Amino acid sequence: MVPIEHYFILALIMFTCGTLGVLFRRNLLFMLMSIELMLNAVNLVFVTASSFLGDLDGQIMVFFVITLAACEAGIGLAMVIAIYRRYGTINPDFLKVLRG
Amino acid sequence: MNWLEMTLCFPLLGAILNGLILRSESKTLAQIVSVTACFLAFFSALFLSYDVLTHHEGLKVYHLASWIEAGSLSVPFSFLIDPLSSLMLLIITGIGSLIHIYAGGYMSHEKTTYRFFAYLNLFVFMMLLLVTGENFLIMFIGWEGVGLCSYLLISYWFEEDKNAKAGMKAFLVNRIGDIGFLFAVFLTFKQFGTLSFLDLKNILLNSHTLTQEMQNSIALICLLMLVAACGKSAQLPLYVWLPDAMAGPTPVSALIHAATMVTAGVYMMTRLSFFYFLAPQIMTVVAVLGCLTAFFAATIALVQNDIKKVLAYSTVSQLGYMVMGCGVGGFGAGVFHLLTHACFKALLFLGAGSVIFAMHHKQDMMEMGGLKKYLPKTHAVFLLGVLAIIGVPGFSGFFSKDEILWKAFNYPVIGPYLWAFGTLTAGCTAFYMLRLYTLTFCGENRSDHHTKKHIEETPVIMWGPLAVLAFLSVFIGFVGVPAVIGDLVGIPNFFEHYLEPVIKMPHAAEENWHFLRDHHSHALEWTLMGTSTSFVLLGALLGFNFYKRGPKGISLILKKKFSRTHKFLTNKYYVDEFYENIFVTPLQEMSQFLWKIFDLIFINGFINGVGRGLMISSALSSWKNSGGLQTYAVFFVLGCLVFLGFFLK
Amino acid sequence: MGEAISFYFLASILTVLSIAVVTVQKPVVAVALLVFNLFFLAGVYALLGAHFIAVIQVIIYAGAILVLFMFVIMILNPDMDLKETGDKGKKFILFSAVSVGFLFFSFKMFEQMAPLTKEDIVSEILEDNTYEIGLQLFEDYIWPFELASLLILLGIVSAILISRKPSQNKSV
Repeated sequence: MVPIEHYFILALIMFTCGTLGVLFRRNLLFMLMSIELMLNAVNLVFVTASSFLGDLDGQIMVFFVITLAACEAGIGLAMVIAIYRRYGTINPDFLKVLRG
Repeated sequence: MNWLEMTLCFPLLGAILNGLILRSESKTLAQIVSVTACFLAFFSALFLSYDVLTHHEGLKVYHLASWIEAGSLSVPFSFLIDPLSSLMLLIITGIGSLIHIYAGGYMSHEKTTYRFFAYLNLFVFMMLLLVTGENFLIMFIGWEGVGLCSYLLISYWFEEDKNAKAGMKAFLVNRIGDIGFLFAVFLTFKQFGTLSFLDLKNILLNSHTLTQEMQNSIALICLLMLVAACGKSAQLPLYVWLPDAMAGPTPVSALIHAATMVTAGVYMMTRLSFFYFLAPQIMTVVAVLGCLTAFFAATIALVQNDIKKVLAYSTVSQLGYMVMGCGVGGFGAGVFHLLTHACFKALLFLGAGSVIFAMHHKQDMMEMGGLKKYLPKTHAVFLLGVLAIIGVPGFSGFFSKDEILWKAFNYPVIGPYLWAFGTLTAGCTAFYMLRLYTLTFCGENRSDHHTKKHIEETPVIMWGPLAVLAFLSVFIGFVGVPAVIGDLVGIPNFFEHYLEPVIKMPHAAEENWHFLRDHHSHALEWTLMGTSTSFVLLGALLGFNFYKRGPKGISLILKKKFSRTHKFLTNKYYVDEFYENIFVTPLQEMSQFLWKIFDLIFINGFINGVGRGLMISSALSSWKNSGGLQTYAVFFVLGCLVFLGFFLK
Repeated sequence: MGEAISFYFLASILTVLSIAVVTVQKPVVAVALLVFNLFFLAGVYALLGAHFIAVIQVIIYAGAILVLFMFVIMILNPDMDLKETGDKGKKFILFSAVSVGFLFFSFKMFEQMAPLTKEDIVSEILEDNTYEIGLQLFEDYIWPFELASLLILLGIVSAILISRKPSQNKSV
């Protein structure tokens, strides 16, 4: 029997990888993929808790998270395309429109 | 809709229609609208006065709506129609209508006549509010409203800096008076708890003794109201705006600055006569002030060359007479002079306007002369006006002026001096009016060839109203023939009886004013009348003879001989310069000081300092606002971690 | 015992793959690795008894979303500049800060978490629960379910709007 902590540690590793990818890859595509990774880490926590507690709500939540992820990926990728058309790059270092 | 509402709403409708809705380029349309409005108001006023005077024992309060209801303060929109206000209504709308007609001719070369007529109608409306208001605040609305319209109309030709400044001067000087008005209103409410004229009158008429405190506050209210009257009615020392107000179009000078608005002070004092009777010491001030103003303005008028300026100072002088009449307790005489003056001064102004119109907007009398043969009709009516104002026996000015002088003579202690000054003023009036008449209409024409060729008689739209006014100027005096003459020829003094219900003496004041009831010998009155009339005739004779050959001969010799006096008078006693140096310049310098030191250094320094400090601090902190999305995200994540760590402790 | 072996096997692969996904140079490779990652994660779900979620994971994530990523990579210029930019020193400092933060955070978390024992587990891992999930989804969660469909619709519309060519935007 695998203890629940180990599942959580696995989720944490994936989440950290995703976070670091979002924060430090200078490429919008990689950032989006890292976000997917983070979402999966969260899903893993949900499923683990659901199984260990014998409560199906966690799995249903995962179902909604996947729905959300699909939307997010669709819109995010559309924005990547739009940004690439507009600026010719998908490197966020060159997209400093918010500069104060 | 009753007659009062109609009287009030027609001019307002005219103003709104002309000024806000139609804004028509067509001069005819603008004029038709405003003249119709004014005439309808006149007829409504006529019916209203008839109705009230015959059916309601001469007094009716119209309550239209409530306005301010706060605690014990209750100020409704209510209007009082009594003999005094219906007389004022008829003067305003009647003479107003004639002037509206005349203005159509006079303003025929203007571009935006609708603006002019809208202001004129608005003025009539405000003036009607002023004279019909049943409480201080309604009166104050009118009081301010006429001031506003006066300002708008004086600076009607605002493209010229001079006119705009004249308007501002009038407005600012009137403001000083308005402060007096406001404080008087406050004080009245504090002392009596009501602002209604009728309530106040009932309180004061029925009280037999007054406490010292009450008397003091009444005196203070009267004094403050006198300040207000000084502003509006152009008395010393606030008269300076009126001569400058001549910058406006001449019909405006006739309507506002001769016939109606400037008499508001006299009206107000008469309306509050029950107050003034209770403050005899203030009445003395009023009388002296009026007398001095009359004399002072008349002396300035002796040497002015601008035809409208002469009439302006003459107006100030006549207003001085009215105020003096009120001051000596003869409110009826003051209002009577107001009535006759409204007729003949409107006539004189409009006549002068016709002359100016014919002379292509030249106002210097030195360039006129000999206009008798060019403008025969204007000349005829103008001559009647001159005779009326100088008080030739039989003309209206004679009766009213004589009434005031007689009342003044009866005033205790200083009465004879008031009379003497008044008589001297009458002589001066005769002199400068004849001077004006002679320089304008007699002798040779002194204008340049080009102007001379184009002088022609004014159209009927202009001399028609003049004829009506001339008729009134000659005959209106017979409504108030003094008893001493009336007994002789069998004409009773309608006017005095007419105003009797308005001017009532409070019981508490009677002992101070017993001389009003004293009987004097007719012989004395005849003597005084004869003296003043001979002064008038002397002045007229001198005026005519000095100037019958134009500004040459004897007048020139006198001018050289008394050159210093002449210069002093020409410069109007340097009052304007005095005010300029005492009030205006220090104010300006103080403002400059405040602007330079306070505004620029303190306030701007503070504000700019705040701004600069913010800019420096934001420059310091803006390094983190790199615009890099991921940098923000890093700090966001770090923040989240710190936050979570905080909770996991 | 078999369950434990499977889990640790899958977990080690997932760890390596996760690190690889965010570190490889080319997006195409990263997407491919992500697909494997999701497959193995589906395995973990199956291990946990969540068969329905495992299937959805494969179909939707691997089958739909990542195909979308592939399409976008193909639409975009294949020669696009993949260079990493930015101040390396600053990046390193921030990287270490975030990593340390995560480490610290995880230590704290596990230190405080009461160890779950067998007794704490309420029920056995549910086997074959697809039927129950369907029931719950269409009864208790019907409104969120419908809202999710609306969300998907919005996602479609906005994705189309955003990615239209600028020249066509004028008519909007």
